Amino acid sequence: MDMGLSSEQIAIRDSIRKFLQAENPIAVAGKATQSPAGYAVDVWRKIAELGWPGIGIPEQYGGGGLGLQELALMYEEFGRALYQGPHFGGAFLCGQLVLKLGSENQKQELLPAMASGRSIMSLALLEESARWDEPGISLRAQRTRDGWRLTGTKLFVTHATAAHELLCAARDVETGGISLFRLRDPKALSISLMPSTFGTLYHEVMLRDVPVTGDNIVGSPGNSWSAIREVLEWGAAAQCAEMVGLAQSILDMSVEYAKVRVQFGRPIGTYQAMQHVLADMVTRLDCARLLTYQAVSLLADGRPSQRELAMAKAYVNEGAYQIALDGMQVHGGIGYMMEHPLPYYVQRILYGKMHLGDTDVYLEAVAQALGL
Amino acid sequence: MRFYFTPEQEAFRAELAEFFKREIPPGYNDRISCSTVLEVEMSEEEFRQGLAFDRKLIERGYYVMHWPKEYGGQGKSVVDYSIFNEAYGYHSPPSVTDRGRNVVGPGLMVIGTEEQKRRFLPAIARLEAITCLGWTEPNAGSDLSAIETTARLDGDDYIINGQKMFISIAHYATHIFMTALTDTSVPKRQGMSLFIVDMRSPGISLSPLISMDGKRINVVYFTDVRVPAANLVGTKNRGFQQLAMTANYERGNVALPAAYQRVFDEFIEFIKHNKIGGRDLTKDPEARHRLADTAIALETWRMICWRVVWLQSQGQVPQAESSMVQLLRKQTTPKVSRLLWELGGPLAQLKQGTRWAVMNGKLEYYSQHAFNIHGQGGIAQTKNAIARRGLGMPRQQG
Repeated sequence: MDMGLSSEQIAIRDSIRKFLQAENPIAVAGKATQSPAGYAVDVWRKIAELGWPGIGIPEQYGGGGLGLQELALMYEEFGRALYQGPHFGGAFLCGQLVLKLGSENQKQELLPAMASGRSIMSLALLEESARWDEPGISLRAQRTRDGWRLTGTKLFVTHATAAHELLCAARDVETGGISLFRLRDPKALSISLMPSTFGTLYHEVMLRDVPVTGDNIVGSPGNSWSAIREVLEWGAAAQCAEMVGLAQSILDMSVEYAKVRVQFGRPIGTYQAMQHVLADMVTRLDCARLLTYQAVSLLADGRPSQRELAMAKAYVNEGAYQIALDGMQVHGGIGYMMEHPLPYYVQRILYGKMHLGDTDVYLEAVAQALGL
Repeated sequence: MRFYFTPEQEAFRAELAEFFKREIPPGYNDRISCSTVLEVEMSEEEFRQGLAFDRKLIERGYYVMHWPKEYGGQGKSVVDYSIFNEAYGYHSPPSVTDRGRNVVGPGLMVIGTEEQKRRFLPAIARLEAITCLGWTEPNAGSDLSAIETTARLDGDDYIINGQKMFISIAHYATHIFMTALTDTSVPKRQGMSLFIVDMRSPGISLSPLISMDGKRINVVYFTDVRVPAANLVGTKNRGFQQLAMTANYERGNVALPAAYQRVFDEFIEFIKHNKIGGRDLTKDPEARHRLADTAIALETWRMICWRVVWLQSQGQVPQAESSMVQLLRKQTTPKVSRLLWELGGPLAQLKQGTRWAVMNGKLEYYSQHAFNIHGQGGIAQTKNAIARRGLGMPRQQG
């Protein structure tokens, strides 16, 4: 049992924190999802210069050669600073998928480009069911003489207009299994914005008889789901870490505010009722972080982790949501105004809670892990 | 970051599981066991059975394995000891008490004189001294500084007068580790001292209090009880401050979540093989989600306990982290027992003695035990401590 971070991990975490404090102030972070690209392009460029997009990609492919622990720490800092960029659906998820499934040529071509930030990929996975599971994929891949033809509609594709290429999950008509395809020219596809809480984040991508040549399949036909599932597990762990960072910031600003906000002649933080809300917040946050780190540690070392990951996501979903509500209570009216950072954090928690499966999904996963 | 045990630690866990399975009498855990973790009331016979099992723990070197060798321990790490404690809680063997090895002994090591350590620690390590804790009084509950019991110096002795309230296992104990005021002319926090008192001393008498879950607790009365001055532990008039140092040791107790995990696991197994009131709960979507939610709460509580253990293993003194253990306990035990009570339905109220009792009456027992949520301060007081020690919130003014 070692609940601590290595000195190298602390150094990585601190340098990310310092960078984002300087480069990603709330004035930038809050507007990012409303911008045309869906993220702050300048901040991302600087992040790419520092090599962080490749943190989880092996050194031989131009990455940092680190693992899920460091990815999770990076996402915790992203959450803390409200940084939202094209990394998650790109160099993280697509990077790991290419690493697991891609040919050597594909790895050589794609991974260094993603690691350096030169190329942005995006994962086109969800469809009408909007669930991160295998039955939700029905976009058809029909074999042709020199490849495949894809027909169907992908939803919630992040940063689709900024992406240089998409990685698209499809159902192989012959085998019924799931295949992954590179769509190398997203601009040629029919893409439309899905307006949401998160501005320009999501797009609908419609494919009608889109030809894909044989060299653009990643992995073998019909056999890619288990790799996708594994990568989504890493994603869920990192998503937990991001929510822990978001919740940490909400707690920090609530503690600070409770110490300086004076009502009825004294700081509201001197009232026990207020202290109890803050005590609940910090306790939930610590629990969320412990469960997240536990899942990260087990996943990173390839140990059995179904139960622990499901527990982490279910707990963090609910814990962060409650911390968001409690933060609103501490702040009162000003916390509900878009001039204040709090609404952006709350909205991002709403995103993280739903992203990769809400609590019901993970409660069911825990029940199954219990043998029920 | 490594949130799992090393191969050596896993081997120790396997050794413990094998030991407990082999040594616990067959059928012992099919009913409510008188595990000291849950503090189930013991009959005379169960007390002897518990003593016999504790002696096995002593023989095997488990009992005080975290103590230094010079006082009868093995000098093992707090992590190893907690692995033992977790197994002890989960397997719930017959046992008399763990207060001596968890609270009194470690406290003595910090604040006792060398003479006191030599006199008491080996006796506690061999369970020749069974210690109870005398901190609370009728007017001193959450506020342990509000005691009224006095200890007046008289030659080489102190004369103790007063009463201690809610004292578990006092009716079996040989000694009581207690507070008393040694200077009544100053504020109580500056005039309190700690004593170890022989329970056979003339002038000590007991009267029972019976708790909701059927356990005997005690009021301990002191009438002109004569105690050698050598039994004042630590520094005279610094007892309140030293009490806080002593109490820190029991905070990361992983045994209690393990005991609750045990009944939860047994319930899961039970519903896999039995219907309750004609219902297959494993197929009920709401029951599945509630069971999953409770499993998460148990795991969370366990992790919060292990964090305290880990901090201690790093030489740190947990502060708000210890209070979180208390808070999680007080939030999780009612959650577990409410789940059992509600999923068990009307059958959950039945005790051992009818074939209709679910899990031989264990559900009924836990439904009562979970209301034991006052020890070491209630939820409100615990949250005060978290806010002040963890977040630096100011004390309430006026």
